[in-house]
Amino acid sequence: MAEQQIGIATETATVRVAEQGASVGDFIALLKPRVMSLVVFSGFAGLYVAPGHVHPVIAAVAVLCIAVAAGASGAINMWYDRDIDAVMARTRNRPIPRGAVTPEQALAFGLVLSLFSVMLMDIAVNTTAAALLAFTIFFYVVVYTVWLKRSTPQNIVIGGASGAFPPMIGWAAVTGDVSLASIALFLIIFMWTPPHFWALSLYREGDYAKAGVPMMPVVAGQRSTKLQMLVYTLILCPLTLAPVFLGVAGWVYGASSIALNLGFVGHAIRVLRSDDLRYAKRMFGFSLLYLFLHFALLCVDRAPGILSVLP
Amino acid sequence: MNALEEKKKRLRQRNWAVALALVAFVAIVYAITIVKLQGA
Repeated sequence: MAEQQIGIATETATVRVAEQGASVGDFIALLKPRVMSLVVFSGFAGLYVAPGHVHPVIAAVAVLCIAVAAGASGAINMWYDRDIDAVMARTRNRPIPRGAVTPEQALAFGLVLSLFSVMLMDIAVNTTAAALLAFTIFFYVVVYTVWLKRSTPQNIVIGGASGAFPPMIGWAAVTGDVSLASIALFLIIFMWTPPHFWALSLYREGDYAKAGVPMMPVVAGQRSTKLQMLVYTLILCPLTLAPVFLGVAGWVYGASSIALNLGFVGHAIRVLRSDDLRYAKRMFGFSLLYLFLHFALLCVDRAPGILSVLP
Repeated sequence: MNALEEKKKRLRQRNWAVALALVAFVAIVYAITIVKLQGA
């Protein structure tokens, strides 16, 4: 039944494409601008807090490359997931299921942008950052989208690594290497992804089930998912303090991080204790703020002579 | 506005977007070259 629905939706979409053609906005939508904004910000934060100096033009190019690569991955993801996107309410208005962009256009767009972003990163910045960027695209497209997403409820746990690489890339753009501090930044996003994404999937469970995507609430049930969300949140808390101990951040970040962690754990407990899915929605919203504030505070703490003195 | 006009408008917008992207790319490579030469 679901397969028939997918078939009909795809056919109707293809007919509409022939009529009007894609607008520039449709191609921008392929880049998943909202997802891109958080990726770009964390990449910038990694670049900003890394020890060393990089020319502002080179720094801007590095951030641009991260942004373009993130967008390109999104476009290829939309090409591959066009069948399930047409079924899910959250994604059925994306350019391909809507019939605004053909799958071939989306794939070509994604591949060309991927190639350009990695090439430019290598030419302008350094090979380590370019290699990490290429690996991130590979991980998101091949490991997460093609392999894990439809085959295991651990999809976003492992696949979350692709979203965690940007601060490491930003760091490598300045230092040319991968250090313990940049791995700590990676781990913060890596451990943040499961509670963040499962909060969303709790109140979108029906959508994922309809599309046949084995998200944790669909496979293991809501109770187990909520429990795992709390476990990941508790593991995340000490990790967010790692930048303080590694000398990347000072007391402003440390104190704020503790407060944010108390809030995040509070949300996870409330989600676990209640059957009201509004709490999951609230936790999802808070998780976005939580990550944004962590990386913003890292930057504030690093700003010379403003608030805290770094060791 | 009929479908043909809409199609032409979208095509024109796409052409401008590609042209702007190419100009931006050239400008970026130009800026990188200057920065790298200064560094050398």
